[in-house]
Amino acid sequence: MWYYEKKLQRPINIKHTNPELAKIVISQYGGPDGELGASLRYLSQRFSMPNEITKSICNDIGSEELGHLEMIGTLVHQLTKGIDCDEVKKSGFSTYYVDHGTAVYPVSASGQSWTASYIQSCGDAIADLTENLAAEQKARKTYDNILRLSDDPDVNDVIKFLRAREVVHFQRFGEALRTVQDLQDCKKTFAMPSICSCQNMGI
Amino acid sequence: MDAKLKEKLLKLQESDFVADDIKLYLDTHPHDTAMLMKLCMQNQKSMMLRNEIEGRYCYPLTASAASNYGPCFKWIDAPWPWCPEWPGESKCNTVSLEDCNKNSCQNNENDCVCKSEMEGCK
Repeated sequence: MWYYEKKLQRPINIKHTNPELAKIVISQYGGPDGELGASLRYLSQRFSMPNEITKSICNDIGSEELGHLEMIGTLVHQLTKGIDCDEVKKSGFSTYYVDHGTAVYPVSASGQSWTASYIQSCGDAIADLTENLAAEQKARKTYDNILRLSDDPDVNDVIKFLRAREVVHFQRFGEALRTVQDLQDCKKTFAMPSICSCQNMGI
Repeated sequence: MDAKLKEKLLKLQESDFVADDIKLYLDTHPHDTAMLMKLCMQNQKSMMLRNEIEGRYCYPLTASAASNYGPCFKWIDAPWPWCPEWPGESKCNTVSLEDCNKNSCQNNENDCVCKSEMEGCK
């Protein structure tokens, strides 16, 4: 269950439209390492998580990612609000515009529509949580690339905020993963889920 | 736009963010009582700001709060947060704080409809 509040996690007020930048930023909406994938990945995985810590962390980070999805949508919306035909043609935004106008659509910067193939939810907590660690770093990488390509300080403030959240989430998923590894046979010197560990895994 | 309302909303965003971050920490450190206390204090701060924003400034953050404001459903009036004009005008400038408190539903749950206001809707 979720309740909606009419506020973003962090305020966004973009002063200048920039469709070229919007076409880049949209990748964090519906791209391979974007916020839509992040939220659906964690919110789907939580059902099969083995203990209270991992369930909570997938639920709570997944919920926060929904808020980040809204923030990225806001960036794209404000960067393209009221742009004219000349701006569309000059900026290279026309390939997006022809299908979606200035609406917000889950797609990568290179034009691939969002697909559930970007994510995994497999019921093996070690596999799922390790994927989440990688996902947070890949999202952080995309934000780094956006910062390399953007010179709008209002956009960059928001992107830096979201980048920092990925780093915090990486930390928390790492802590959650360790609680699952602790369920494994302590004699092992590396984390290897045993086929016989169904009972320990709470499955 | 009321500058004080805008300031309160910003403070609420800050306070809720701090609470969210502490919550993630507590998910993986559930026995840290000092941090639990901090979350409790932070939630109280957010609650006071929320009450002020929704009560004093009649700004509906949630659809359920918007049912307290009188004959019209003010939820649809307040700009959405992705609009550059967010948070926009407070739409009940004509309602005093006293009226606002009087109209809010503080009785039992079964009676959670502002009768005088509902009559105004007819």
